[in-house]
Amino acid sequence: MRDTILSNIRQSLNSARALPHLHTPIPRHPDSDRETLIAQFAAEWRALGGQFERVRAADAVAGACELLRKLEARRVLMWDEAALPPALTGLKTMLERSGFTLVPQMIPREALTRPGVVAAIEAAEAGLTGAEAAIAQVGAVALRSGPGRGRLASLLVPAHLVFVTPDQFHATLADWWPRMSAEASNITLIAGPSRTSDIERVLTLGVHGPKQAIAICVD
Amino acid sequence: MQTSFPSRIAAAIGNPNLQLALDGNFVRSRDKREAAMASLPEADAVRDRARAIRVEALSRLDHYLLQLEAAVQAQGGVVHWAADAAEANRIVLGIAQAHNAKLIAKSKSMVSEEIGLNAALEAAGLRVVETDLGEYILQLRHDRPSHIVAPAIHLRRSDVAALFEKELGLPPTDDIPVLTAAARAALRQVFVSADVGVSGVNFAVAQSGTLCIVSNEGNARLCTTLPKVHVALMGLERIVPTMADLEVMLRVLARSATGQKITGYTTLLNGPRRAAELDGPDELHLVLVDNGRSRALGGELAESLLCIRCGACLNACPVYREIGGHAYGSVYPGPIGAIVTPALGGLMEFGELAQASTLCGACRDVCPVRIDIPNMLLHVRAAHVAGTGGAWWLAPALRVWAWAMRSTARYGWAVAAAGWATRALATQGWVRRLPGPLGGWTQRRDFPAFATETFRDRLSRQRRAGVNEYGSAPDA
Repeated sequence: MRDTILSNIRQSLNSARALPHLHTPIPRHPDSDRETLIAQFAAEWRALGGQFERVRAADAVAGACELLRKLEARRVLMWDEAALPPALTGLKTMLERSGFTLVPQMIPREALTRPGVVAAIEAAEAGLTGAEAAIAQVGAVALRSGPGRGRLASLLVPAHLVFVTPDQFHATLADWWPRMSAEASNITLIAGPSRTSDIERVLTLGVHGPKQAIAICVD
Repeated sequence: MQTSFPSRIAAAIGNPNLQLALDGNFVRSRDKREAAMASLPEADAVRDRARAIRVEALSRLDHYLLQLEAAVQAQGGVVHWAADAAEANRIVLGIAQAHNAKLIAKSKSMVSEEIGLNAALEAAGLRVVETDLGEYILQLRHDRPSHIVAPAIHLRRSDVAALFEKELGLPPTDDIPVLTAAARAALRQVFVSADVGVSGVNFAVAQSGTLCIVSNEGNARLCTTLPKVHVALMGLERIVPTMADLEVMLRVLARSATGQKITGYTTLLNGPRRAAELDGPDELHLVLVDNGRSRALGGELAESLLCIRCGACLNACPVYREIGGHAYGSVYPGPIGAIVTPALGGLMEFGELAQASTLCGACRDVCPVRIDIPNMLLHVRAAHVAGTGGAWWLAPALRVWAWAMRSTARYGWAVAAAGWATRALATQGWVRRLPGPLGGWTQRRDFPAFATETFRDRLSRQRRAGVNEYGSAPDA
């Protein structure tokens, strides 16, 4: 079937007229300084219904615990510390000591044990992740999957806390794009909370993904 | 579709609920799109580039498909080629049965609507659940999408409330967040127990084998993360050569589709879950669906294959705005649907859809890849008339018209005669019913009687009097 389809395409291309198109250069944006980018990101992210916080590196662990307490989240789905900004080293120990429950991230491949683990992850009340980049123009963070960095921590939880560092802010998607890892099996750009406008085009937050999206810049 | 196109149009225009829903959609979508485009100062250049990218992809489609196949396979994905709808459905069913699947979670895919996937899977005893909120509502209603991007746009909140009361036992409410929460709760059970996730593909990158899927709700992410098997369906034209090209397309897709600067979730998939990864599907299958595309590529409607399914032309169209998507009776409605449907399904069967246009060009103005939709609508009309032969009187009438137009004197007599005739038929300046074969024209609209003085008469009278139309002397 593959060969029939390909030969049909080649036959069509032989008889096709060339479609007109233009080569217009796309102008580049002037570079902005870091603080401008962070402010622009914060404004866009908030406009999307997200929450934006800034915390000093020394206060990052305590700040994260405080945010989780405010959310009344006890069960936490968290990326490995190695995948978070270095300022969050020790967060896992601190959460365990403070009475939070850390939900295991790994979904087993075996059919038998799978449903139980999925149910436990589904019961998590907050997800903690790092990021690859924060894009100021569109108000989005980019997350890369990999060992210790599951997809569900930003997806199956009612509240998603994403930690970024000042060096991760970029003006546009195009500015970050060439630096994106080509290795990861999954890269997701997240712009605020999960949303829908399917009923009367009225915006509603929190459909299948997180209802709360909190971006925390760790200085 | 049993009823005729004109009777479906009449029913849509006579449905006050639908009219309210369409009016709301039009105002919101227009304002949001314009604001989002304004946030991209270089929008015109980006649209030119987006078009050039799609033209390049189509002009070497065989090369890029082979490149895509190799890249997806290198990442551990499986590529399937489907010549038509039946074959595509057989492939998906085969994958599901190989995994003993009982429940399939599906995110929005227009190709799946085109091939009738749900019916095919259900006929084999599988349960398929649509997880996009709009599509879920439609599935519960046994209804069809009426818009490429906002499938349930023809419904109002009261319709959804009545449906959820009946199907989910939800107490009566007109609170949209409450309705949304009810759907979330019902669909969570589906996500966590589904055996297979089926999704569409917004763009596939030939060079890297990356599949790009966008969604606002997060359901597409769940469908491609939780089930052990992910099946991605794509029309074989939805390809871009490189990752850099994908970034350009993303600049216009969300802005055109929903008036967002970027969609809530933009997911880039490079094969299934890797060895040391925590979650994600164990298998990824990409189904390349032809279903008429390879043939359309060589025809007059090839340009319709540039389409990225943003739905901007639907929102802009004055006809879609009045009749909605269902009246078209095709999977793809609106201006682009009136080209894509005949291009894929046949000019004779679907050519009449092209009549539902004023050729105003609003669709071309908003198209992010600058598809010349009005020009192709004219082509569809001409081919449809040539194929059906048209009405018996059309050819002789046009010969008389051409004869009259070739001489100034005959033109003058014809206009005088038409003016006399329309004034004789008119009441209060409007002809409500034209006689004979012309009556079709006045079935749905009135025709204005000609002015008593023709333009040429008025012009020569004013020249004689030395005044212009404002009553003052013209400039020397």
